[in-house]
Amino acid sequence: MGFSTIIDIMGSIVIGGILLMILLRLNDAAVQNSFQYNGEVITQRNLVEVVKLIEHDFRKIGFCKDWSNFPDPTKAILVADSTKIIFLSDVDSDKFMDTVKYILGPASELTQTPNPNDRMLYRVINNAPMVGANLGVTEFKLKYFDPFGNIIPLPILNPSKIYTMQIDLTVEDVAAYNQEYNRVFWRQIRLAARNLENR
Amino acid sequence: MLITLAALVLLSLVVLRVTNGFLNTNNVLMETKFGVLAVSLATSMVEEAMGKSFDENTADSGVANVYTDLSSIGPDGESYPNFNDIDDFNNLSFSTYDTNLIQSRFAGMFSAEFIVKCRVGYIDPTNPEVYSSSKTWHKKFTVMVTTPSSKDTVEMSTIYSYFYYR
Repeated sequence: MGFSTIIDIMGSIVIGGILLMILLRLNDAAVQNSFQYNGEVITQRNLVEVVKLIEHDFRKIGFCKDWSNFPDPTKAILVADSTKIIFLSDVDSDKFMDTVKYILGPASELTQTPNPNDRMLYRVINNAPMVGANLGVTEFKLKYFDPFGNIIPLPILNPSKIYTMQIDLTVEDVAAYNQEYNRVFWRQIRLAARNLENR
Repeated sequence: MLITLAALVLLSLVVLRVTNGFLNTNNVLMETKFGVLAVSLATSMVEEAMGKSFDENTADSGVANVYTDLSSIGPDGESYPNFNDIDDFNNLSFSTYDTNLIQSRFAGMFSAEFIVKCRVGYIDPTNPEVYSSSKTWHKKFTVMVTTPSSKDTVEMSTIYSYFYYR
């Protein structure tokens, strides 16, 4: 075996090693991206599901199929806090008001998931037990405004002053590759109750 | 030597192709993210507009004659965000990066810039797609949200009708 052959073999090993490293890196990137894309899709889908539920319930604040059972919608919000709201609404359209609660649970409730920030967002109707599905909600923040657009400071003692509310919602992956959690944010400013008065 | 070079070229093409695929998928996912934000912004605008009076002249009292009692479309001296009726939003256009709109809750709201354009006009309920030149009891509010970060435009419309029972 001549000197040039040894050089050829060494060169092949080096180039082969480089190619192998490139392929391994490419494979790693493909796996990581696959995880992230799927995680992103799941996160966005979860956000849309939570938003659909929130929009369905919040647009019915103060609604009653039989208006005479609840003639003053300004009294619909019972408790208004930064991560919790309790309001009256005829959610099942049976002409009787239901108590709807949206409560963000503590992060300590979901220690079994890899994401340390995800929390349960509870939707409770009347006196039903607090049950919910973990959709990766990490933030559910409410701000309340009066008719002039001024923030109503917490605690709110008179919820009938609320004219609009700002809902901030953040959803993250429950589990992610390399703990790089995808994050989707949604914010909406909406009327507290559409039928507050005749305009 | 030539075979090695050819292999390197082939591998480079594969890497480029795969990277291009990653970037395309990233673009699609970012587009959907911007879409979600644009929808939330458009819905917020619709909610804000629907919270106003039907007309300048119905803010404090009722009106009965559609031709003489209703005002013309457009702001009546007010400036955003201090509008008092829905047609004040006509031709409103602003960017969420607009520092002059610091009082607005939409100003600087998102990590990407969004351009909001509104259009309000009277409509005939038999043909709600077309704005009517004559006054009616129905106004159509349309908001378009665009962003330089996305090719899509989100457009939402709602119809606001006037009812007076008092």
